[in-house]
Amino acid sequence: MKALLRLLALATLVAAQASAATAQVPAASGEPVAHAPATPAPTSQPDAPDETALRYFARQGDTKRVEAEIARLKALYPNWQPPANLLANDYTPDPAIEHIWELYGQGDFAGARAAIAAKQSADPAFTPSDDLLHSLDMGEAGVRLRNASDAGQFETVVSIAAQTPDLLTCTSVDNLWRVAEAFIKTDKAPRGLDAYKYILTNCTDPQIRLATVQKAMSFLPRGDLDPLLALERPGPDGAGEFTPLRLDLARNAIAEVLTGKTAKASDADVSLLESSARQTKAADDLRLLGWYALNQKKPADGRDWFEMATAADPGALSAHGLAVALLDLDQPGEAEQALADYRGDSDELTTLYLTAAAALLAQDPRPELKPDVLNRIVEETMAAHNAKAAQELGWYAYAFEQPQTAAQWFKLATTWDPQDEPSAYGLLVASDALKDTQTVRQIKSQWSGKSARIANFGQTTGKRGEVAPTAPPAEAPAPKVAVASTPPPASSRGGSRSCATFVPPGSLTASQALTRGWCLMDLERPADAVANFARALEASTGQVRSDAAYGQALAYIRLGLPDYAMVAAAAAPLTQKRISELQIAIHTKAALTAYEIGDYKNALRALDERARYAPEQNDLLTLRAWSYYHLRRYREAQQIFAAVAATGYQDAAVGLDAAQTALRVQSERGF
Amino acid sequence: MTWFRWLAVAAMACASTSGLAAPSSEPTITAEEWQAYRDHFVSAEGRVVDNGNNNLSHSEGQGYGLLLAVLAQDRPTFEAIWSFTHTELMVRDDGLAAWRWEEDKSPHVTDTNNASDGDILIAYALALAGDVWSEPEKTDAARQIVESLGREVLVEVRGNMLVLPGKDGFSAGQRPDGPVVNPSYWIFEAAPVFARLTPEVPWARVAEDEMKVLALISDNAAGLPADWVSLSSRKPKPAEGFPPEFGYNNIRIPLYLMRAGANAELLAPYIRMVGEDGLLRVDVTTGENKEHLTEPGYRIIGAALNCVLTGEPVPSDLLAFSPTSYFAATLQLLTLDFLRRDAPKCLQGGTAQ
Repeated sequence: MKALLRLLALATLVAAQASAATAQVPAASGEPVAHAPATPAPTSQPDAPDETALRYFARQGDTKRVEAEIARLKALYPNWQPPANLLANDYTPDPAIEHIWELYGQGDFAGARAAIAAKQSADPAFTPSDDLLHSLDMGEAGVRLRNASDAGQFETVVSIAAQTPDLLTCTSVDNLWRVAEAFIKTDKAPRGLDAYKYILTNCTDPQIRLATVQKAMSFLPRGDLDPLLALERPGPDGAGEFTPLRLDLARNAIAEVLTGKTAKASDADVSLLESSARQTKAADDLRLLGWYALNQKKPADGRDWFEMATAADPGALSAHGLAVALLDLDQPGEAEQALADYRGDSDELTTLYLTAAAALLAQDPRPELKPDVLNRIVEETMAAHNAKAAQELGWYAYAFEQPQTAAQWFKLATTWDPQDEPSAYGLLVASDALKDTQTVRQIKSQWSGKSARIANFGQTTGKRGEVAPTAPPAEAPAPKVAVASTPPPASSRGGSRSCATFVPPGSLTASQALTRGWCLMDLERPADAVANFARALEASTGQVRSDAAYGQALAYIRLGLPDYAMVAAAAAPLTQKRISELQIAIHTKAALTAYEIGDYKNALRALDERARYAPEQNDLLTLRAWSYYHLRRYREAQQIFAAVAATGYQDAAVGLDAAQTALRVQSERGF
Repeated sequence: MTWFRWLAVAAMACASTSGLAAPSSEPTITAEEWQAYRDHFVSAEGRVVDNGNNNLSHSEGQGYGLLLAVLAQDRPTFEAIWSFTHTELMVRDDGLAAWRWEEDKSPHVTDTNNASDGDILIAYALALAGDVWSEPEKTDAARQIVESLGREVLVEVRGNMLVLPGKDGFSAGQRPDGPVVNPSYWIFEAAPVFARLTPEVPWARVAEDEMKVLALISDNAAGLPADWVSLSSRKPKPAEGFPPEFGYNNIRIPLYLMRAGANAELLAPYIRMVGEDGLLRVDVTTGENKEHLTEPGYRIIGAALNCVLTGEPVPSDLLAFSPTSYFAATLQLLTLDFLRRDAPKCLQGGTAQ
């Protein structure tokens, strides 16, 4: 009671009335209510209550309303006792007044007001009881308070509460919550806190008490909540009733560290969540603690939490944290292993996986990786076009004395990231080992101005390791097993298995390499196929070279490198049919690639080139139309879409719609 | 009649507990008319429903409902409408009413900005109710709204004191072509009543300035003001984002002028809106007519204006009240109230057309 009065009095809203109310004690019934009956209400209290409603509800047999009405009257008239027999005939009700109370009971305050006015015009002597008018004022004020609160009109909320303190009871706790919020949002947070304290001091319903602290949590900073938590009572199980909320607060405190809002959570919050998480094995909590340990530079603790999380909830979320912890602990092999099953789940996980893979490959001494491990690293590197991992695969191959393969990886790395100096350097080193003087010259001329070690390459003793800190030392241990940078696929491939194990292309004859190239194409390993076709191109017979050029061009197309394909196709004479076939494939790929990166002009150019060899079918016609569309050539787009849509091709129908809309908008704008 | 004479007459009328709705006399809106209006547009909970506008409710409708209830001398309905208005709309911190309320939305108030004409109508009706039914609480409630209006929505534009359409979004600081006004939100008949409630606010001058500005903003191809007018430059122009037309809003201007007892000089330009078979919406940039508004509630404004200017009686078919849309029905009852109170000769001898 004092808290409520203070909160209102301090708001300087009912200061004048406050002193009179201090003598009032909460109702003795056990459930304290926040009525402040001694505070003069807008309408003054009469000596005796109006029992019309009570008796009416009793005669209706509405026991719930009877109880509510007795409670309401007792709160207003502490000395009043309900009649022993509510159904006694000593009381003659006025049906019109009963009707008004009925409307009031239904919350139809407008109807009750109208009914009072109607009775007054029928009977000018009629005066509604103060109790009825006060009840209506209260009812309307409650609705108005909720409406004002919903509309964000918080000064109105505070003002209604000050004028109608009877609204603020444990049985209408929603009003108290709204008033607390209104104080906080009108820069009177201490008064809001007082309102919450009032509830926790006076209201007993456990759900209301829990919800009250939750409300406070959503509006007040952590530091303001302690006075509320101090009002905790023991729950039925003996534990504090706010235990779940304390855990939420601990989680929030830790989450704020992770989002950079604070540097450290309190020891109390951390150990509270730790002991709970150990007991419940809740994976979210275990991971939260794991991330917190990593944030606090305790990777071993982090690993332990994420291992517990993995045991409780195996999956990408747990593996993610575990991998980060293992990388922090410089255990890239374990990190690669942890992420292997989830490496394609998201871009973030793919990047993390390839970071682990690159670190694994770069270890000194170089580890001998199992074929399945190497296989998935290669697969993911190719899929992600990840230059860093490709570069490490290059060094790895180089370390195991496979400069040809190394050069291929470096070449891919420079293609994916042309500005990456270490990849260019790797290509230089590998090409030098292969005595590929043309490539060496090319790289030196391209990079000498930007990289001292590339400029100086070859001017030292020739020991490459000395000038290449990231490169493997030349004296790297010889592999005990063949490096399978391109491992075998599933057995279902049957006959294709013959090319599953890596064999340096240089060790094959030209026609063996050609066969192997096609085999690798079947296995969807175009990068390795390129190397084998390259070997086959060294053949003396025209037919093999022609086939090799054709194969290499196809392989480049599959790698998404149409420019390279063009060059490859020119390496040997091809039949007209194959030339057409390749040109079609090259220009198709070029068109798709250009379209994907939004280069619609070049997409159209490639389609025009392609059109010299073959007519466009629905899919490419649609691509052409969309290209026109993106270039705002809506008229041309519309014509093509319309023609294709007429064949029933659904994608074109969508495009036709878009083009027509664009044309309409254009004409409306008067372009 | 000069403005000052009009003001004196109007003030006298109010001071003597009103030519409006004196309880001893017959109501100027009949029981049958009011019953029909209530049946169509007033819900049991005291909500005035705009059936032409997705059945939403607004402060303007609540204000009209309160005013008509006073004119119909129906205190129970007034009480219900006021209960709804107060609990559902009058929640703003500044004491004005949120303007829009929608039954199927939660919260029901879907725009907390105010609409000044709604607030003016509510306050005006409360003040009349306080006088007519001797209820000082209603007068107090009216005074609080009028104080808020004086504080929140008045603006001075080149020496003229005007009512803005709402507190937010219309001033010079809040839109590039501001201040923007809606002249149909200027309810002149309330000015003397407001002046009595809050003498410290120059309500008489506000009404005087607004009438002056009415003439200035009518200087265009149509000879009629646009519903929404930008006053940012010396030459008034239609406000950005609104159709440049004299339309549904402004057909109320001559009604409000007549109800306030304005002279023929002020009324005459509005005869331009009276077409053969209804009121005209007019493009103010070209002077072209756009549409005829044919509901009797609209046509009767033109007929009443014609009668006041020429003496030609109002055709009797327009005197029969048969509710159609909320807006037209409201305007018809307000026009009937005007005719019966101030121009009874217009009701005699009309012939059906």
